[in-house]
Amino acid sequence: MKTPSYERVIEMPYSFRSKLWLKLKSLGRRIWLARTSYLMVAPFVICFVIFILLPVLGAIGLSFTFYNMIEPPRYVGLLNYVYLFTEDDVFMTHVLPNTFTFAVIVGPGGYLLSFLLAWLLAQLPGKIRTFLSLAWYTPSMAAAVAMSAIWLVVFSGDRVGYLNSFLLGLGVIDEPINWVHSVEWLMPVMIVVTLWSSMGVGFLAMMAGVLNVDSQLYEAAKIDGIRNRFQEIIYITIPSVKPQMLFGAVMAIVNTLQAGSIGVTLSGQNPTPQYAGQLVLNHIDDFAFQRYEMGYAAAISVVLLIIVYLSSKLAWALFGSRGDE
Amino acid sequence: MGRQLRRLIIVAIIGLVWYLGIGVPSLASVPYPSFSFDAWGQRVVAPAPYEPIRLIDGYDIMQEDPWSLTGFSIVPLSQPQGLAVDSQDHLYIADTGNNRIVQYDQDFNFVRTIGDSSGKGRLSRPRGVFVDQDGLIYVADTGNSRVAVFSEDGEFVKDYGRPGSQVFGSQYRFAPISVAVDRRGTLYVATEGGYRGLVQISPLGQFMGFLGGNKAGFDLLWLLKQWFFTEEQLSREARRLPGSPGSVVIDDKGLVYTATISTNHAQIKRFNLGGINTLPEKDYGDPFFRAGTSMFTGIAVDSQGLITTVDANTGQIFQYTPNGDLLFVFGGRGLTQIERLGVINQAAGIAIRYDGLLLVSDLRSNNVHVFQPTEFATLVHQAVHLFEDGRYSESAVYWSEVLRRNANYDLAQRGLGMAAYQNEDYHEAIKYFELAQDAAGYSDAFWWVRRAWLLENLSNVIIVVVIIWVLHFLVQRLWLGKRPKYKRDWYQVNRLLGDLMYSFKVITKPVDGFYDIRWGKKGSILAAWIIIFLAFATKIFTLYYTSLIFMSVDRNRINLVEQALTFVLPWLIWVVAHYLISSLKAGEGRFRDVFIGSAYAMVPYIIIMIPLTIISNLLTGYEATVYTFFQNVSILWCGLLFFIMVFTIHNYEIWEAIPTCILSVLMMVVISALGGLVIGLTFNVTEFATALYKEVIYRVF
Repeated sequence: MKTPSYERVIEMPYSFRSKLWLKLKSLGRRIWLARTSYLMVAPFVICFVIFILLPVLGAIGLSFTFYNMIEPPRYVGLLNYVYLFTEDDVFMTHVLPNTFTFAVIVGPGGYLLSFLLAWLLAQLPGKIRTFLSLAWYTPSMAAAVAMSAIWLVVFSGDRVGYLNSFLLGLGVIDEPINWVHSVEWLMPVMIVVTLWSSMGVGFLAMMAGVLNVDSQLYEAAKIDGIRNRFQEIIYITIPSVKPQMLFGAVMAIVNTLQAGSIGVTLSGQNPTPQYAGQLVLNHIDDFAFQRYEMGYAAAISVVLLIIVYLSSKLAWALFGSRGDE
Repeated sequence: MGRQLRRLIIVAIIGLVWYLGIGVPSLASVPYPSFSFDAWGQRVVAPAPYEPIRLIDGYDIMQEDPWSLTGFSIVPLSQPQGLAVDSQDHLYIADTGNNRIVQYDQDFNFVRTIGDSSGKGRLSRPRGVFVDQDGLIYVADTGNSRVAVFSEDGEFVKDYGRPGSQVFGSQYRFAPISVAVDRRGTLYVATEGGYRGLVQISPLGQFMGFLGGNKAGFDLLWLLKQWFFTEEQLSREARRLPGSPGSVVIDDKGLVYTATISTNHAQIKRFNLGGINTLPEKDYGDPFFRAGTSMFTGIAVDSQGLITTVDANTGQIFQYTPNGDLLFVFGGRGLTQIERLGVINQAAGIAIRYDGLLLVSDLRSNNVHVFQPTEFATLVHQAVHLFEDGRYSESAVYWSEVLRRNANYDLAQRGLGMAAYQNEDYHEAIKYFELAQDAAGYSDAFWWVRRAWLLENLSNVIIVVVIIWVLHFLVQRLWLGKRPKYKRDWYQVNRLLGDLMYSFKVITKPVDGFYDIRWGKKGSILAAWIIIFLAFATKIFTLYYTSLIFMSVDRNRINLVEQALTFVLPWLIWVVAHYLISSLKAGEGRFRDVFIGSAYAMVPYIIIMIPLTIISNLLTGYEATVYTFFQNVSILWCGLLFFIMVFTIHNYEIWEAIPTCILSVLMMVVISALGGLVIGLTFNVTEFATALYKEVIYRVF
């Protein structure tokens, strides 16, 4: 069968309207020609639209309204956004600075730790590697259990808490610090615990990537004059695992910005003491499910979405391949 | 013409009269300097807050003396220490050397001495005295290890000896040096070497506990000693004991104030009923003046809660607001042994009268100085009084009066700022806070200004941003989408421009970038000089244009030469030191490579700090993390680049690079020390030469 050459048709000198019509027509034709492919992607596309795209668009729509789940939404324009950045003192003075601090330490920190651990584990022989990677991966799955079993005991506020007892013994402090309820210590504790449990999916992906690097590349590089492990990482490992690293970076960003329960779990209070550990997600939770101000909560979610989007862009710029390389 | 002249003359006469009449006398008559401190802890000269008016030396004290012909003899003060004032402004002096308490009335006429010659009322080296609101006189009878109580007329009533409680301990010394009593009759006793804090004794003489013991603090050396020393060695070490309060006083509200000697931190404390210190724990006193630790031997509180304390180390008198902010410092130990009114040789006790007169006892000169607040101090006190009550706008009147007398008084600027803030005039508040260099106040006021701006313009900003974004998206995708991305090669435009633009390659791909500096003919000395100049310019830019909230140095005291010496010079020394070390350690980099590489490693500082400095003016203190984060990123990035440069251009193993870096830093220290030595010696030689030359000229001709 001879394929019709639709490119030629477009280039013919027609008036604008007929040109558009022809363009649409050719598009329809192309879709029809690729119908099996469209059928193949249909299940995903339909699920994506129903479960992700529509809710997101719905949230964006809601963010321009006042909606309390009882009355129908009332359009208020950009008022929610203006309110968020001007009237909402808690958001501006606690939530935003907290989230920033938390994200810039836990995000890059957890990411670097993941990569380093993945690389280190990849150097180990098989059996031990499997065991250790499982051990490192466990915290990210069993965080809630571990929280009460380990961290709440370590950071217990009385003098028998492990950390307090240790520091008192050294003489660094002279009275026990109430780690998870004090304004200045809650955030550091949250960061430590989150870093500990940050070896998640990104870590596994990176380890798979590091393990899958063709060993011939290392041999070839050695012949070409690479002298040490550092050069190996820079010239072979990182370029080879770039896709996995990008995945890990995006996962790290999303996970960090979506972390919310950690402060509440640690301190056992909602909101956290004097908003010391309040993150954006806590704030959304507060407005959506405690005050039922859905429109406002939607506006905060949209701001969070924009932040995640911009951070992912940054990750792409840093780790995405630029075609020419 | 004639009219103008006449007007000029009138103005001149008025000016002269004002100058002679108001400007001079209050400044000229005091024999000591007075200061306030600005926001950076630097001294600022201030008008004298207090002037000395008289001296009490006790030559009017007639004491019964059976050996004298008249039956009386004059016994002047000897080592006066603690001072107290009662509700009628009578003054009580603990005359330690004469084992007695001396009472003066409000006009400084001698009234009586307290302390019997024998019996239970006999005092032994009393160091402190206190008068409660009923007129009972409590004496810290140091030599007898008790607190003795006398009636209003000087009759011995009772005494409180060493507490017998088990908790008090049998080894702990009880030698009262200062005492204060609250309305319920509870005694707060400061004892000699009392490291556990004030001893609280109930009116019935029962021990009620210790109040506000100081902390020994964490000492790494001591910790290491504990680990490595044997029991025997440890027992030979001096025990680490926390400082003990040396003086105690109580105010009308029942708050207990203490002053601690032999420490430079949290010397003055104010305890509430729960025994918690409500003053900020900071360094009080004047660090520029004292030698060794400060010795706050006396403390006094007036009815407004202003805290006045005296440092025996320097002889200076400090006055603090109820918040612990310094109002002024004045006085100072005499440089000569000559006695002079107002010059305190060894300060001991201090007291303040209800009418504002300040009394300071001088242990060595055996007298008590009386100071009177000047007009300036009175204005400040009134302003502070209103200010502490939160009546900022009322205090503003006084603050502006204060400013007229002392334009450099930061506290007044701050007060006016707070007043404007309270009146919601945030632009005005910002102006004053900027003058006072008060970062916290500035941040708060700016928050409101920014908020008002956002409230007005945020919707428009959002709409504009969304429109631009959509347009950008459309243009990118539909119009430019098909074009290949065009990357300009700056080397083809100009060699120098190419070298400068090459820095972007270096900072993003440092390993390749530095490699091409060494082996690929990239980079040039001229470009390196330009980058270093830009980095220095960036440094200056940040100093002048960073928001006050994030400033760590005083903008008014920036010295360009000093900045150049602390910024460019260390960099140059690094280049030289590192080149020397690397050539010893078989590095392959040439001097040119080290120089260019070190310059390129500074580029992240330039490209981060310039935008950050501009953005800092849009941030408040709440967003401080944003600022510190990017600041740290720039420093870490530069540090990383320096490190990568070291092992790339010298073709080192990564483990070889670390000792080279450490040695280079040590070499920097050596070079700077040598440089300092050479400069010093050269200076001496030139001085010698000029002196010789002058001498010869003088003798010969």
